[in-house]
Amino acid sequence: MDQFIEEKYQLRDSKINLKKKKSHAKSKIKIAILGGSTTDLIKNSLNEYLAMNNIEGIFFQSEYNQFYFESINPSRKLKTFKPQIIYIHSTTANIEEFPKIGSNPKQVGKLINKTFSKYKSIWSTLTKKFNCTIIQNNFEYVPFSSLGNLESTKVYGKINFLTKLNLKFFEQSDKIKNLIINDINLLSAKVGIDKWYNDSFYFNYKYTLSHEAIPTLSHNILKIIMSIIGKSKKCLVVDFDNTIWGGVVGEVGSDNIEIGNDTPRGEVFLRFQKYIHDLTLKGVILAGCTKNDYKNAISGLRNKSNFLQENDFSVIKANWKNKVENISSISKQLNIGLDSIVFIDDSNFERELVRSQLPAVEVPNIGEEPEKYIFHLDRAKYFENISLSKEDFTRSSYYKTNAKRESEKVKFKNYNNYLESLKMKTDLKKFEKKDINRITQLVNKTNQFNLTVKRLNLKEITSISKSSDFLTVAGNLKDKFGDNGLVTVVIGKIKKQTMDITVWLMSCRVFNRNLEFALFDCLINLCKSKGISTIYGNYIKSEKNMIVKDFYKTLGFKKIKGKKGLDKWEFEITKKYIKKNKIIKINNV
Amino acid sequence: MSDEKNKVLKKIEPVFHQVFNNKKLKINYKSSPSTIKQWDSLATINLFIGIEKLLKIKFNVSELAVPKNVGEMIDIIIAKKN
Repeated sequence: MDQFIEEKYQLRDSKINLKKKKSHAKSKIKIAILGGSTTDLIKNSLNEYLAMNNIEGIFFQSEYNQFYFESINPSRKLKTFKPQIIYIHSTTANIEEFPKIGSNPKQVGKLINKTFSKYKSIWSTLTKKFNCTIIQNNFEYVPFSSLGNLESTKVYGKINFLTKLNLKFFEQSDKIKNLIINDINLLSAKVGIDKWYNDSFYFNYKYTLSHEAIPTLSHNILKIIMSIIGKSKKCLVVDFDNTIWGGVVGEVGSDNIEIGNDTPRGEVFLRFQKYIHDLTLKGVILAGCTKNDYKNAISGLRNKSNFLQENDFSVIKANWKNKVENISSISKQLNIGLDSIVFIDDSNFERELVRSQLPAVEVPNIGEEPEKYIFHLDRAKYFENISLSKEDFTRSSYYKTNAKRESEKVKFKNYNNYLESLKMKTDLKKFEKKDINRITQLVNKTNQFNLTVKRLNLKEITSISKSSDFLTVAGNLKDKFGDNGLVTVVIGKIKKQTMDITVWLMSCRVFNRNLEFALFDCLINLCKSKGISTIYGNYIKSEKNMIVKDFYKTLGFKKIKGKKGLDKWEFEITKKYIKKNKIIKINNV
Repeated sequence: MSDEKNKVLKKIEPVFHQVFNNKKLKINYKSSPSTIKQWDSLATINLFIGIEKLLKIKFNVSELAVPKNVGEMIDIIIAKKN
């Protein structure tokens, strides 16, 4: 039954108690599980999956079936625990009252509202008290239907009732940004509702799902958590021949590759291409990596039956170099980490090679049957999102315009001349309400140009944006090739005549464009207007932010403290301050 | 009968070792939550899951509800197999 989760997680078994191995965990996360049924095995399984991702899960579990009371009136234990994530494991077993058969729509409507308001109050109280992300199960269907098909169609039918509740949950999740729905209705459908339930375990131990289904559940929660902490994958690298179409284009010719509605195999590849295209629409960056003459590879893509077009790809590496080299160079060119990349290839040889040389790259075993590729890619949920913003929908175009910028660069002898030719403009503004989502996304995703790698959730950022103790700046960057969107964020804590910069980050999309200098000029102006004379900068070392180790030095800061992993820098604002940016036009402050 | 009981005991012993993470743990018919310290409700579930998997059987609602100790567990397994 575990086939609905990634292969690597199937080796694990939720039944075994966690052996206390020395933990190599690099980050910790505090998760409170508030259950409407028993949750021990779920906790164990989730804990193990987190550990496999170098994350140490620290757990709090509510007393049996106390999810409602623990939410409305949190115990001292939960309060001192201070969860970062609260998972509410309620299920259909927690529905206290279903409509009576024969009830009229008004009665049913009342009951829906009554049930829904219980959950609404849970979410609002938890948000108020803990300011954290809430993962909430929706409802799975009932396994038995005395009404038969009418269970769905009649207003008093149980499935009708649950469906309406689920819709209300979805709508609410769209409204409340820190509420994320864990769709167990879909999970149980995948597993099969009869296998999802296990009577022996329910009636004896009050597990509302079978132990075989638990890995599927915890895998889904894991992927939601990975997305919350910004560890979802960003880029899909695909091979061409026999991966996105059938046949080897260099041998059979572009007219004879198997793609399109003419043959069963052609249709299989077409479906896979459509799936990949959908991924690009939601912001996954697509790259091609194929052992082919470039000409042949492109002629294959230009076959009219393809769904994927040449310009759906941000980069195409079509050559005879080995794929390890090509994927490394894709990573460099797009400026994204290897651990953000998923690589798919029909050849076991290529997969093994990449796996062994680039262990950070995720290489699913997609098997040999083209119709299964989509299944292997889909079940792994690599690209899980907890939300989608305008930036996600237009991301691939940023990377494409970046490729244009790269080609333009070659024309200039001097890098500054090139930058000038871009005619860059930026709007540097305080955090505004409409930008809060994007700011939160940046704060939680940016790894490289990020001085402190301090993660903050939406609520925290909202309250910072409203507080007079903080100075905030968010900026975009436009140039003649297009708008890069909101790409840089600074938060400074004001204390009398000083300001401590707690967050400074910039998207890798706009490295080396002088935006950081424009932003610093802006900060100096803001500080002057507020009577601030000293700025403190912090550099907290992480695995990926070496690139900004000496950033404050470049700006003219003096190092005043250098402890293990934390450098503290100081900058005195003087009248003699000379603007550092001469290239980017700043629109307003 | 008692021969068969002993056979089953030997067969399921590794499940106990795994669940309690102790290869030296000796179990007998009288072993129960009151004789083994770490035997809590979660351990009970893990034991049943382990045995189900090992012997390729499924316990029904009443079978899971019955056993108070290892001896009774084995009785149920034997009754099930016959």
